[in-house]
Amino acid sequence: MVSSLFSRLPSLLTVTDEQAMWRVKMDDDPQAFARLVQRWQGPIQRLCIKMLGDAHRAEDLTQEAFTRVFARRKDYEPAGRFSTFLWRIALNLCYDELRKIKRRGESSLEGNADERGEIEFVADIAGPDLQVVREERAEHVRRALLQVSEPYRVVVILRHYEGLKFREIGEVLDIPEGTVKSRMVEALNQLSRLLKPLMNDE
Amino acid sequence: MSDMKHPAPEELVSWVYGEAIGRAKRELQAHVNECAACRAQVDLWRATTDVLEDLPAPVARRRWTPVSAPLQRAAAAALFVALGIVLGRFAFSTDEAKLRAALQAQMQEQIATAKEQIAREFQQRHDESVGQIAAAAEAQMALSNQKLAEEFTLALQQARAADRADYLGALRELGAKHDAEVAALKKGIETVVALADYGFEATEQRFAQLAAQTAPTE
Repeated sequence: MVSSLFSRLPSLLTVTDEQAMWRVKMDDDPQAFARLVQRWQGPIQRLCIKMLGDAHRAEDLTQEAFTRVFARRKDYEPAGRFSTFLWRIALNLCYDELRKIKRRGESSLEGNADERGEIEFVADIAGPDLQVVREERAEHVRRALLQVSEPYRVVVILRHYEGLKFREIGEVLDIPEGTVKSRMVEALNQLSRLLKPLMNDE
Repeated sequence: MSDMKHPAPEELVSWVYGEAIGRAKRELQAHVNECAACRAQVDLWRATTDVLEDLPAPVARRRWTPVSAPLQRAAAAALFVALGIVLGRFAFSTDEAKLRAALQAQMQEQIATAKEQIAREFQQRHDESVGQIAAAAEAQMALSNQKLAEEFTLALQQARAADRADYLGALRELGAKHDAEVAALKKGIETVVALADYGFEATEQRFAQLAAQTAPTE
């Protein structure tokens, strides 16, 4: 198995996302699709968690996003970037889910960690007290992010956590780059107010 | 300083995230160095983004599947072997090196077997997972195709019903027009007949008058 993996490694390394998606579109290539899932499920899950604040729903939505990618493979235009295609699908699912939550009158802020979908933060070598403090700070940031309204929150997540350029975010959201920057300014201003207590702690 | 022209916040945020380039980047850098207000704004944003880093990459716990059976067997084997080594240290101290070599070989063999099983299981689960996603997508597509076909059939039926209604309407309109024309024609004929009757009567009267006027008076 290891030898076969190594024999496939050069071809895996040279295939871009767009080429892989083209193979999925034209030949229903399961290996190419598996490669896309393997590469992108982490970023998509992170996006969903930060948009929804709920790890369980985020996992379900991530699976749903890839299911949709496969179902809509014929709609993929090779001129466009695969990532833009995928981010859009995932974001639309997040928006749908947030609308459902609003309709049901739920709040993703409510409930303890177990009820919401447990999110475990990667532990490092630190004493239990320090670990508790870090988890509290993380929880505070999570809540602050969820208080920022969706159009601004999505820009912060894509720019700050996922490292997309403002231009790329504009392509994903189909809005001008200047609007993306304006939203980022507003988001940072809101977060500055919400996270003030944590800044003083440092 | 108060007369200084400040850059737009959008330009500043672009600079904070390292997206300003060339001359714009140099000018923004110079401005922030000189302008206390803009520097304060930038510092606040940077402090905010630093705090945002306190939200690390989360790992969902739910997906953690129980330790797989081969791994459990490997762990049990390792524990058993380790226990054997410890006990062996006390019981068979003279043959320690020999025993250890034998146990190590056995342990390595078991671990190698377990590794292979884990690799197979991983591959199998991976294939199953991809298969499930593909199957789910196919099912969704089939569903959407069926829905499309139903919608198409419905639309076709509606279009046919609309066409039929239009056709019947046109026929009725044509019939009504025809009836109106027949009625008008009938009325016209009656008028002509009435006029003809009147004409005959008038002519008759004139003949009568004429006959009365021309009768010989002897």
